[in-house]
Amino acid sequence: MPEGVEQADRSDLGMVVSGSLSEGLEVRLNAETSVEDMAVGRYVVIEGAQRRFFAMVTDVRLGAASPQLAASPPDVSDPFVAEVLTGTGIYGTLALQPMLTLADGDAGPQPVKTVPTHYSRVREANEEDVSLVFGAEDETHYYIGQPLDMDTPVCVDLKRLVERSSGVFGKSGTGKTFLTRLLLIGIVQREIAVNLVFDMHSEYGWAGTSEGSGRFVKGLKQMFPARIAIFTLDPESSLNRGAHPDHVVEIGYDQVEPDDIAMLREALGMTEAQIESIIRIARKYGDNKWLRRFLELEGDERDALATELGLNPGTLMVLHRKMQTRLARLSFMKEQAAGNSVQAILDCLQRGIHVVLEFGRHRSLDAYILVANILTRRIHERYVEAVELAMGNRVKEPRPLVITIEEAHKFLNPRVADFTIFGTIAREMRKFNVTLLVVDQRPSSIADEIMSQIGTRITCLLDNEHDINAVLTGISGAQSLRGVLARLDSKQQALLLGHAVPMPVVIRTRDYGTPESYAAFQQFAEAAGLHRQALRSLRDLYDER
Amino acid sequence: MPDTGRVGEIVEVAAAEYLAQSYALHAAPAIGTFVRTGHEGVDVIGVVAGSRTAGVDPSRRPIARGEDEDDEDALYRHNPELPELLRTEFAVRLVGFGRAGRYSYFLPPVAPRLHGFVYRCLDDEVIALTEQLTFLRTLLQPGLSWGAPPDELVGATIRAADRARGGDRAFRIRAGKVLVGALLNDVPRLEALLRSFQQLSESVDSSRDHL
Repeated sequence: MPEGVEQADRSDLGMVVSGSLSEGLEVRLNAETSVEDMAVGRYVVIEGAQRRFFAMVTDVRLGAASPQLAASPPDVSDPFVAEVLTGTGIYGTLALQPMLTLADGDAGPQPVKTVPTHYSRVREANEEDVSLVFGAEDETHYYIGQPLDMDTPVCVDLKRLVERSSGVFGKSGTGKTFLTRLLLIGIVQREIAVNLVFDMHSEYGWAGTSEGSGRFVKGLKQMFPARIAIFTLDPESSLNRGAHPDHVVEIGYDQVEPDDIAMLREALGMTEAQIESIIRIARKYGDNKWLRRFLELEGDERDALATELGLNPGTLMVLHRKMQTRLARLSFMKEQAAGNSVQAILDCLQRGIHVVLEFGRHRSLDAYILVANILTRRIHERYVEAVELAMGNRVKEPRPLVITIEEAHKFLNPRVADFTIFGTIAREMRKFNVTLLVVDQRPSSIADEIMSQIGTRITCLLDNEHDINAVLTGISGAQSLRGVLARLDSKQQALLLGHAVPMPVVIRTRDYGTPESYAAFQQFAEAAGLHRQALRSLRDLYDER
Repeated sequence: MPDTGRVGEIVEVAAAEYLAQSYALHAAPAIGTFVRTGHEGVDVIGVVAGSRTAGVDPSRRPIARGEDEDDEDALYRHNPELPELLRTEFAVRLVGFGRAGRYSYFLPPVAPRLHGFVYRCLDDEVIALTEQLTFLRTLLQPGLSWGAPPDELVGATIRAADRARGGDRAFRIRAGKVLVGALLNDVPRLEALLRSFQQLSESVDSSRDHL
């Protein structure tokens, strides 16, 4: 067709006219492709001369071939004039960030190291392209959503996801909990790792609410009754919600160490002097006994202690009151805890049973931080031990453990990250088979050092500049993703980037909460279960020979 | 004379244009009409850029004669020598040449012959010729001093090609897009030009009536 482009392939969008690897490519749109049909975050394919490039739309612009067209616009109320000018004098352009490339002979999509030639055609990605890049659902690939304008599944590699710490970020009400639940289901379903979930708002264990519709959706226990143990700090609340907890967690005073209190510095509004006092008191009474002994002290004895340790009696009095009113009143805090909750959790984890710890009515941050820190510290110790044993004696390494924490910035902000166990885990626990799944709405408050360790970032809408910067730190081509991130829908859309996906992608999250969706999950679980069983039998056979 | 589409004969030739005399007085093809001439099977294609009618003898200028006549036709009836003293010429700008329907859109290597016959192109030829429209940019350059202004010529040419198609909006849009590139720096001119062919126009070619 001479000059005409009317008959062009409908998926053809335009051609590459300029750009660079570092700053992305500029694509001039065909006359018949309206900029209004474009969207940032959409996924396109560039047919280069020798290789195919996979890229993401990061910006959409309007262009004019001459400044006059912008300065003195022609009368485009005349449709004829408008149509003639569209695509010639005035046109749309796309900014693309190339992410992956595929040439003949490549095993699969490779990271991009060059750009396509001038005038390479750009087309919409089709289902084939998406599944080429994001793989089909299998033992490790987990269907988490679809690209913005397609129905092809986008899969995350759960094995890679749990290899490093990962994060789910987003403003409140954008679906963080929903996404986290999906990820947890995937991990449980694929038996990729065991989960320990600190479930602050009791959203994961038995049932959660679906934002927007307000309906209840099934929690992990309802989906996989045999493989989830619900631990609770508030048995009454759990029972009220219809969840039958497997274990009630109590924290004994003897389990609280000075570091645990130091963590609470912000939540309890404690001064440096108060923290210092605690450390001295603990040194005197011992890490196990200091809290009980301190709480038992009467006024005079306190003053005597102050004198003995060279502390300010006033500070000690305030501290005492804080411990009384803020810690001792928590119903799960006991002078002597019944049973060993840490051991119970570890037993479950060792058997591959996932643990969800519900906080019930203890929704205050101090309770959450205290419990999460105390339990995790001990579990961490045991994991380190187990891994070291495994290295020495070649016994089986413990299962990879994923610890889910909400309000993560309270644990990982620069002021406390150095002495919370979560900071340690984020920094080095990959070696010990423990990683974090942090859920947070203020990623900018998380220490940079920790943020850089977060391999996979799943981000719902963020609109604070600092938060966006934090999420994109250390990601190549991050600048161009900013626009994408700031323009996500506030519901059911997320940007996936990092270790577990081959390239950043914007998804509509998969449906969860309808009977059909439950059936889909269970179907896969059954099929995968059979497959695993077969593999196991094969392995056994082989081992015995 | 059977209708062969013959409209005149070349009386003056230059590299990029020629002048032809119409066989009938006041019967030059309309501006924008596609015409062909040539010999030995090579057609030289041009577009009529304008016409003029003047005395045969340049030293004798026509004078007014109709003061006492009722109408113009009566004037010509009462002065039968006029067709012999006057002649109508039209100018043609070359746009390309070709053989058997395959066209090249640049000047023919050899100019057409003097006294070559000039024929009006048939609609099918016009359609084939105007599948490619780059020559419109050539026509936008100034030509003969007494020819139509370039924009008028281009507008008329597009209208003629559109009429050959029986009115085809997609074609007019396509032609418009070619012009955008050439007139980017003069948006009002572009706009005026676009408006001149945005709708299918009726033919006003007087040369057809004389054939």
